[in-house]
Amino acid sequence: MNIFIKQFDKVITPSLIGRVKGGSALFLLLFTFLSCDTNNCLLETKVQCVYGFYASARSDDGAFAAGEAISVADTITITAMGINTVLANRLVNQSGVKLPVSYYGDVDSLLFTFNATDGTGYDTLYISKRNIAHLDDPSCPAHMWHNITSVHSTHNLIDTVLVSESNINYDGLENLQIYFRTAQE
Amino acid sequence: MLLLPSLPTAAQDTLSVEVGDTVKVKLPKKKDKEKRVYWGTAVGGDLVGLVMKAFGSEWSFMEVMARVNLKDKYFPVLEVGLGEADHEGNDLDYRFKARAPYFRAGMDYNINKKHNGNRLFVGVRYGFSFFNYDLVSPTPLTDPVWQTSHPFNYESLHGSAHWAEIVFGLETRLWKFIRIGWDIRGKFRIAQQTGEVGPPWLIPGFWKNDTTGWGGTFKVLVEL
Repeated sequence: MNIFIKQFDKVITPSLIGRVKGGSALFLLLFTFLSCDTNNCLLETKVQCVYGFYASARSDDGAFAAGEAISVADTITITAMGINTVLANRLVNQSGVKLPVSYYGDVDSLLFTFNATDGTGYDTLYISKRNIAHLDDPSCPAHMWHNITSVHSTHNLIDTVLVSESNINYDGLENLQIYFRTAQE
Repeated sequence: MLLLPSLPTAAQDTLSVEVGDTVKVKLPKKKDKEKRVYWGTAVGGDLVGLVMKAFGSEWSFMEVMARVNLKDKYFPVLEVGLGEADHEGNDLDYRFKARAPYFRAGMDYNINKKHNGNRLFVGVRYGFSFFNYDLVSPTPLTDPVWQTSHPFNYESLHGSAHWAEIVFGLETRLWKFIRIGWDIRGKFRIAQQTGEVGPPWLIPGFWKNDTTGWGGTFKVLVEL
């Protein structure tokens, strides 16, 4: 006679089945809740080039030396060349300025007009840059960031321009230091 | 003839014995069974990603896993998946797209000391993914001052991420060699590299891109 013995698999504990079911419901609830979108857009997202005004100094041999931060007494108007749009109008006693940067231009050309009691002076500043589109989150607006590759200018009233921070982004750090010729020179 | 109701299944042989004979059967001792190191291998898949995809979710992780059972206590596991996302911003029409594989390796520890087929797990994972993603918009980005526009269409941006997970889960036998279980996971991003245009909205296998995330699986496993 054949001996046939059937072994049953281990019986599932009812309480554990309950825990699996309960846990599954909790898991789905938690998962659904955590799947909800949250909007993490930054509040401060202005992308502007930050300029600081400085007085230039010259050593005895005529070499450039960095001077101190100053407030420019002349009235300064800054115009974007090419589109003839005034970016800053009649600045007086300012120690710096924040200006927009073109989204797609390789070089921004800015005309500085200085009005003083003894006349009017002009300088042109050329900023070469790389433009980088930036999107933090699809629910937030996109912006353009920039990386300054070089700057140069005419030298009527502007002595030297230095790049202090080449990345123009949300940080708001001072990007360019403009050294003006002072009356003592 | 004798019936021996306690013989193991493996020993289903025909015995011819006379009345009065003594038959000795050696059953495996429970302790011998517990001394085994290798208890088997199981493969399975996660149902959460399939359900999310079936219901048209804008993202899903579909994954399969393989694991080894050592002493019914240690479970080294390998998880491989495919992360997909097609997410559009809430108010704006920027869109994030990605489709990339991800990998996780780690181990679960069964804290249920009884070998009754039910398991209560705690575990850890290390996960990583190398992926490409798109950030696109049908609307060009316009310069408000210079009034110039350019299409916002950046495709195949490169990204990568590494993360760690802690796991808590339950598992039980559904039928013979079929097991079901679920787990929830806390995830911690270790490092990421993203494209210059912007970070990915989602990291395949991780969660929506942040320093921490949550996740989980509802898995079905087949014991081989």
